[in-house]
Amino acid sequence: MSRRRYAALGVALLAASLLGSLVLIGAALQNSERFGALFSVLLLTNGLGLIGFVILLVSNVRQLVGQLRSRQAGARLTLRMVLMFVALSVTPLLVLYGFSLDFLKRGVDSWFDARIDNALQDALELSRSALDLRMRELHSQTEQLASELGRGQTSNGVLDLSALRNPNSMVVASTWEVGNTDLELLRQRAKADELSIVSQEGGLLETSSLGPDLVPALPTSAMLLQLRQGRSYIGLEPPSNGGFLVRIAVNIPDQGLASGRRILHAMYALSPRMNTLAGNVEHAYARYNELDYLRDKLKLSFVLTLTLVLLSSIAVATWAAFVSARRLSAPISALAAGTHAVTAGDYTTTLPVTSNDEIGLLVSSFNAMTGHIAGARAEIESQNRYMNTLLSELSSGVIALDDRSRITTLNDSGRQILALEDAPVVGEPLSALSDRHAYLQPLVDELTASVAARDGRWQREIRIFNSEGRRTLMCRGTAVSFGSQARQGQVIVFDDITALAKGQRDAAWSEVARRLAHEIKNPLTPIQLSAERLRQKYLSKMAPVDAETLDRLTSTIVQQVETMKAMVNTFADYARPPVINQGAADVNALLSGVIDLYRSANPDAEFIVDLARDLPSVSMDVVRFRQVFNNLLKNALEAHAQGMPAQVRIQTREVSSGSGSHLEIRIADAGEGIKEDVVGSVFEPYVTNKTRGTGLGLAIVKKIVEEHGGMVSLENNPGGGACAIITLPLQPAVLASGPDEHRSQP
Amino acid sequence: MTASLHMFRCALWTVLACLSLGLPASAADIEILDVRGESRDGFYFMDLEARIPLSPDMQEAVESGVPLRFVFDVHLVRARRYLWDSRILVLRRAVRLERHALAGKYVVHDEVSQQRQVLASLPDALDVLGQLRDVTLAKLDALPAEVPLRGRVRAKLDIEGLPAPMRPVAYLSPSWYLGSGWYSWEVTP
Repeated sequence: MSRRRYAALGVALLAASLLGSLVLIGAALQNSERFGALFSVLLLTNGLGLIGFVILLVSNVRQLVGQLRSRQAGARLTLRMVLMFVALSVTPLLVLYGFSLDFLKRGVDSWFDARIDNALQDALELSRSALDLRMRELHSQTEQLASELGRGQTSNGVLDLSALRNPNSMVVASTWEVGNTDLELLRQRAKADELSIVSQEGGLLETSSLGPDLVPALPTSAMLLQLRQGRSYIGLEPPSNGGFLVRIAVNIPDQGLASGRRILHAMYALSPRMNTLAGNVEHAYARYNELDYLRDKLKLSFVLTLTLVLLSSIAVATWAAFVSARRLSAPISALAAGTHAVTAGDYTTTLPVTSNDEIGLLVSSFNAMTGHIAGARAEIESQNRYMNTLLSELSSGVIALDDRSRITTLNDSGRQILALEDAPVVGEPLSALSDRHAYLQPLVDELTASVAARDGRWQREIRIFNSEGRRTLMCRGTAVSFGSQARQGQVIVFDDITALAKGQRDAAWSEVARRLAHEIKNPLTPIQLSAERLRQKYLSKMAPVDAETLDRLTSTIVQQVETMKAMVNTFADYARPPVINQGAADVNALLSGVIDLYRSANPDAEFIVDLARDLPSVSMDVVRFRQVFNNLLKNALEAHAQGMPAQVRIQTREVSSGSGSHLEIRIADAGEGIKEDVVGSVFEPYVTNKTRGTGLGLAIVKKIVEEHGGMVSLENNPGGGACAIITLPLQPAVLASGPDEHRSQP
Repeated sequence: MTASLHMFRCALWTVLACLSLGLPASAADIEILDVRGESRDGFYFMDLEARIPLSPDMQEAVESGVPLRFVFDVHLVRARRYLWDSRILVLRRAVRLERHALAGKYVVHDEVSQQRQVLASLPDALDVLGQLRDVTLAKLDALPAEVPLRGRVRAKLDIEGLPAPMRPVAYLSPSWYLGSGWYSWEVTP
């Protein structure tokens, strides 16, 4: 048996004992001899039992209030059912209680009637009158006996009765003489039960008794006082065992005796008939009088008992209502709790089927439903795992965004491409990526713009620069719907095409350069040879004036051909596959050497050098980077107008950002700056700001810097002039790492 | 939840306070005037004299025929220094006072000795009621001679001796609580 069943059985037993004791209280109030002595105990027991039930109910009510406040499933249903049960049970009880009270008061009052009261009073008076008459007769008779005794003579001494009064003493009958024959005769003639002659002080002088009593009744002090005043005593003694007794004490007429005045004390029994009648009247009167006195107390006790019955009934009914309501609402509460659990995502909930009725069918259906949902969920989770595995194996990065641009999926390849740590990003907005990693700002901006544009499909090439250098990402986005058409998210697939793009671009430019070099260089040699042959063959044969002209023209041709050869060689250098001999280099030392060359060649120019101390060594091809610095310093000097003093500012520093440490080299001039229309393409081949030059200087600079994993940009200074900015990773991952790997096919 | 618990405690203390106010205080209205012990004939006897006043409610009850039962609890104890007193004897003597309507007399009935005395007035009956004479407490042989003994007695109205309907009122009404404190005397067998 469960603990709850034990508790219910205990409470039921308590209720039964409570009701049983209430019945006993009712019996006790009806003056039952068996239960009257237990009345107070029963009342106390009932009171305590009722208090116990009240505590039980208070506990139940508190529990229910707590369940209601916490919005526990089934609490409101239990409350309704309890209120309904209590209303249904208490209402008739209250009606019955009200009628019972009224009936009780009327019933108790009906016991008492003024006529009965008067009749009993009259009966009592009548009895007293009859008894008075009889007592007067006996008084006259006793006075006559006293007169007779007064004429006679007695000489008995006073008996010591102290031994007789003491219950612990032993009286020897032989030591006491029975009264003389005259007193005995007088008693027999007067038909008295007892006749005694007593001294004025109350001492027994002589006695004669009808019964076996050894101790005669003696007048009390009050009686003696009354007799001393000359008045006889006549009294009715309440019955003890035999019946009413009439006690009469009179003074014996004084005959001048030396012993003093004497008293005749007589006890008379009433006739049996008179005894019975007087006893009945007295009993009826006493009983009625007591009941009349107890009327209000009796009503109060009955009201108390009825109230106890009412309260006990209400308490038991309310408790039963709680038990019934909980039992009825338990399956529904379990269903509600199960539904809540399913809503919260727990599909393993299974409810016990405790009945075969409609509620049992409902519970079975619920269990079947949760089973189906759990199966479907397991299948979805399996598909999700499959999809996640697929995504993790993809070499492309995948980001899924919801309709509020929150990241819902980011696969491992995506993390690697974007160089993210293992920090969780799922569930966070897309902007959180740029907040944590500043180098992702271009990506976030582009993705945000593309998502906002709500294009069905889109494709962008986005460049970012992190600790690994410049990266080119090819992003392709597709809008997807979540549930409803109104909620539309994006799935973005991106690839790191840095190496591919660079390879393609380099290959294209190399092809162009190679073709140009090939196509242009081939005819140059015949042109040069032809010009030299023209000069050699005809210069000596021509007139001096023509010879001078021919000399000037052929010299120009040869000179221009040389110039074109140099240009073609430059192209060839550009088109040459990168051969990088990397090694640890001190950038400041390399830069200082180049600056010294230009400082000696341009004594008028001002070089402001600000090189950071304690720069770490950088892995680079010193020869190629010397070319980079040559090109940039040369450009800086040439940017100044003719006749204006050149001023070049060279600066190196280490820059730390979220993506790592970088080396930044700034070479700024005080010239005219770059025209706005060529700012974006100044590093493209054949784009130049100068009237002279091949237009390949900055393109070669960019090529070399990018081959070292760096970035180069050119911007105008706020105070005038331009500034070339080279950013190199301090832990470079060189894209063109070895001569064998990057030497392209001729 | 805390507020409801506080209200429950307040209500509980209020009910207890009301009950404590409603219940009678220990009013020793019966005055035990004198107790005399006496060794005689191999027994130890006790005489007691007490003043028993009746409240108006009690007098009304007696006049209406309701008997009043008074009990006298007598203990003989042996005093101990570190423990509570050891009780050698426990005796209860019950005396009933009732009025006889037809005779117009008051009857004092000793339930132990079955002696009854009929008195003409209530004061006389109360005088007799407050007197116990030659109450045998113990055989002298049964009392430990070497140990000092102490007697104590108290008297009270026996509410359980009232009719059942009167008891709830009597228990809750101060006017029905009549009793004395313990009266002690030295027992010298």
